[in-house]
Amino acid sequence: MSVVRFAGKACRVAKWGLLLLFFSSSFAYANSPPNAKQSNVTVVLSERSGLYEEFGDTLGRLLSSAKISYQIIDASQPIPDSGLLIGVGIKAATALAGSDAPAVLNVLITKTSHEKLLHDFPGRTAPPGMSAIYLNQSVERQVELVTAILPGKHNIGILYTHVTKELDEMHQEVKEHSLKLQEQKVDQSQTLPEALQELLLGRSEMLLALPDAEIYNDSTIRNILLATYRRGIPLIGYSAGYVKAGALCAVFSTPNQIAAQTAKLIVKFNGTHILPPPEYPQEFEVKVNTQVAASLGLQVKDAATLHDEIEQALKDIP
Amino acid sequence: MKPFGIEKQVLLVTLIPIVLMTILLSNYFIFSRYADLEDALVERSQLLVKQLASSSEYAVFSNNGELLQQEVDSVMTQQDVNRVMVLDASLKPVIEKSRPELARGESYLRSANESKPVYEDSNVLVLYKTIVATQVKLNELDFGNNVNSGPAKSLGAVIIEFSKRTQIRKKHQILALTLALTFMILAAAIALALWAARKITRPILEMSQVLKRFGDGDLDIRVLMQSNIPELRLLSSGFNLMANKLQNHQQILENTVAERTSALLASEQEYRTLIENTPDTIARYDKDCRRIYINPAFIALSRSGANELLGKRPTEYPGGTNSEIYETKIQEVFSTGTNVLFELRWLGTGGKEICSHIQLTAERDLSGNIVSVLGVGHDITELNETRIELQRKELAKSRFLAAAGHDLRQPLAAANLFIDALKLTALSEKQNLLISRLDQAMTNFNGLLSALLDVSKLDGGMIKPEYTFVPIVDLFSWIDQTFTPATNKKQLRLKLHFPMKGALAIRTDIGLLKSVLMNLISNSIKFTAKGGILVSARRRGDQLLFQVWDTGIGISNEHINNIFDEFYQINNPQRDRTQGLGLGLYIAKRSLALFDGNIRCHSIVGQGTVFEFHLSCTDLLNEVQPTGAVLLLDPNAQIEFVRGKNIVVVEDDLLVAEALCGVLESMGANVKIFTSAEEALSVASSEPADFFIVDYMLGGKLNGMGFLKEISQTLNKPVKGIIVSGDTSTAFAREMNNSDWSVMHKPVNVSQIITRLSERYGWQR
Repeated sequence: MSVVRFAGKACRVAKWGLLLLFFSSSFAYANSPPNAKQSNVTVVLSERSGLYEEFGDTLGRLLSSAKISYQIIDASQPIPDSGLLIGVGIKAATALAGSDAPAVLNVLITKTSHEKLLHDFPGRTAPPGMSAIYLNQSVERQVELVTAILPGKHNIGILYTHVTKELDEMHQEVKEHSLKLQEQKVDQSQTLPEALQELLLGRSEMLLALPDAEIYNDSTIRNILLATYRRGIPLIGYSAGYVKAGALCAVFSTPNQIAAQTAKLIVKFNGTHILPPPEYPQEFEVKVNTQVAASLGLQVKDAATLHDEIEQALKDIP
Repeated sequence: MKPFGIEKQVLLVTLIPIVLMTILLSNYFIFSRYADLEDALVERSQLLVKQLASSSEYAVFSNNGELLQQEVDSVMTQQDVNRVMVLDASLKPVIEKSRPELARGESYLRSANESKPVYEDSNVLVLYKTIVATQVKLNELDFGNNVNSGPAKSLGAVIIEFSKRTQIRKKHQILALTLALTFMILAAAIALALWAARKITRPILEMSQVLKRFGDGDLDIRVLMQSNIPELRLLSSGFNLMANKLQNHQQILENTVAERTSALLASEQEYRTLIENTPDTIARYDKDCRRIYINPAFIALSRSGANELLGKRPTEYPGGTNSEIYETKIQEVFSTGTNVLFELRWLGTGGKEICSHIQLTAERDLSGNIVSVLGVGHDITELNETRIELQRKELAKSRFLAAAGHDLRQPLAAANLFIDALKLTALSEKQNLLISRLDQAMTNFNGLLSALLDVSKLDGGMIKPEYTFVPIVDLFSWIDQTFTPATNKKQLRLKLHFPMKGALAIRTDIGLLKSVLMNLISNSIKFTAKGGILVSARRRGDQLLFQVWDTGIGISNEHINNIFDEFYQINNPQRDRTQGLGLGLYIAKRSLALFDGNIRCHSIVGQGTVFEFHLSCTDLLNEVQPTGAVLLLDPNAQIEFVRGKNIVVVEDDLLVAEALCGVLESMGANVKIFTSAEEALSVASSEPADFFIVDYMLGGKLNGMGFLKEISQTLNKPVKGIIVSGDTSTAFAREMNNSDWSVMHKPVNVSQIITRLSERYGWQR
């Protein structure tokens, strides 16, 4: 009897599950305007939480206002094989790269990751192929921040594990601004603490963090910050989190800014059905930790000034 | 084991819980404090090791030996830290510092575990803590390969060895303090308990002292209680109340004892007077049969004073054969314990023989042992003399009655027989008339003699009823045969009424009953001129009511109360002896009294009289045979029975023998007469006889019974015979009960003898 009852309960649960699925999917379609055109945009989130979800919501709002039908799914769901697919985050992007989706636009993904995907999935290089809006800032913009916030300081400390395109670009850019890179490689022969120690004992006047999870992560950042702080050397990060953790400043783009850029790109794609080449975020923000600056005894400009200066400097570049 | 006194018990009861409680509490306190101390040490140690692990994170990360040294030094400032070790990520010691005098020199690296102490003993506690990089959340967005997921990276570890010295010292302090406090509390508790126990028990002990003295007899002592415990005050007042009551009761008891004692003394005096004034002699003997007490009567009876009697044995004084018997009897009582009664003859004062009835009684002490023997002697000398005289008179009376019974009847019997013989001879009419007158006179004389003898026997108590079962039918047949001729003669109707159903019998002495009925019916016939006589027997339960009714002249009220008196006769002032002696009703009454039959009389003058009495009756059993013939054969049958028979008569009275012989021979029998048994025996044994008629009392050695037995033996066959006797004594009747032969009492006539023979031996040709 209890078995029967259990079976009944299981049936009920299954029914409710189906009902819920039905409603949720219909809700997803309900987000589409009634007079929308063909539903050809699918937003694939790496995960339905935090900034990814916020990004999805913002993009959805923007697409709705642009009367573009879309659907939001996550990486674990079946991926459609038509229309434009937006891969949000590296997990979604990886899933899309391996799918039959004809056109893929990756967002909230670093340049390094995107290029690694293109390398791993060579088929994606053919049009319409796979494009991206990078998460990280262009080397120019970072160097502009350095020059703007610490004028007169020329030795930029860099820690790296592998030589990347970005590092090469950095070399190029630094040279153009008459600056010098003080590099230390982290590998088997030189651990992070040793490399850091080496770097800080050298001529570096600041430490510019480049996205490299092996060096900069939640576990290491405190000790890196402590080490730099003890040497009186500021750390320049690449996200709001760094500034909050104790970096002097950072230039970055918010998910909302990238969502707006994405929406624009989708609208454009709907017209042309051609994906533009990968691009850096257009809009950006600058954040300064004034407390850190004060602790280090540095007089720095406020974030808005810095933003403007960077924007201006980049505009001036031909 | 000696039981504890009340004070110790109260003390124990008070102290045991306190001591237990104190020990338990102090133990609990000590152990909880110890646990607190240990917890505190562990907590502090963990805090310290955690702090070191945290503070040395950067120093280990940056491999900053100087910084690490500072951190370790700051930890080593703690008194109870023996040793500090910091290890790098590959668990190689980076720095190690210890107090050389205390360090144990172990590496503790064998089992690195954070969850529990690496090592712990009574002296040290070693803790281990991994140095983990502090996590700072950098990005929510993924800037590359995500390495943040997964466990935090270990930078190294710290190991601290803590000394428990301080903890042990503190434990000792706590122990000492607790013990001191415990002893203080116990001391206080003991003092308090002692004080309380004393306060409670002292009054009780005092009271028990008083009670002991009270028990020892000091009834005036009382408890003076000063205690402020109400229950004890109540107890003491209760005790005092009880003591008062006991004292009162004691007083009453003493008074009662005094009263009883005086009463006892008075009673003793009374008895003493009695004993000293009694004519009976009283003496008490000890085990050696020596007199230990004698009363004045004893002294008076003997010819000596008390000094010669006391302390002497009967054989010592007065001595003699009787004294020996007496002493033997005393010894017998001592040995058997049973009382002894006997008679003893003494030679008293003045040489007169004294007969004493002596009772010897064993006197016992409380445990039942015989301590003495009391001898009480009662002088029965006079009593004996009277008794002897009485016996002599009794004997004389018996002899007279026997003589009268035998000697007077003997000639009378002879006369009867002669008359019988005479009737059988050829007589003239005148002679016949004379003979009938003579017969009448003889009958009267016979009746008078019988009546006189009966009265004298009744007076002498010599008649004892000989009970037999008598069928009612037989009795009434006898009445019918006996009285029909007389009633016919007077033209009176004789009516008999008795229960015919069943064989009813009465248990009675038939002779006595017949004489009673004879008297009553004869009287009725005598005093009835016309009408009739009714003799009835009616059953009343298990009794039979005999009534004799007549329609005679009746008895007036003035006489009716006297008719049963001796020699009382109505209307016979001239004492006409043909009317009897006036003894009939007296004899009837006395005879009936012998078997509890009470005679009564109711009468109406001119109409009639009824006499009635009750006798017990029973349904006749088959085996009970009626005794005594009541029917007489008619004269022709008698002659028929006797004719041609050889009859031997043994009778020492020749007159009687010849009269009997004359009648029998005139009836056609061959008769031989012998005057002694011996003579008859010598002849009769050779000549066969049909019947023997034998007198009981014969002149020779053999009596009638002996003769019949002897001749039966000689002839070697039972002989037919009848014994005739003038002896009517009870002893004789008892002897004859077992006889093989019928016994008839004198005077008898020939008709009665022949009837008895024919009944007994039947018609044999």
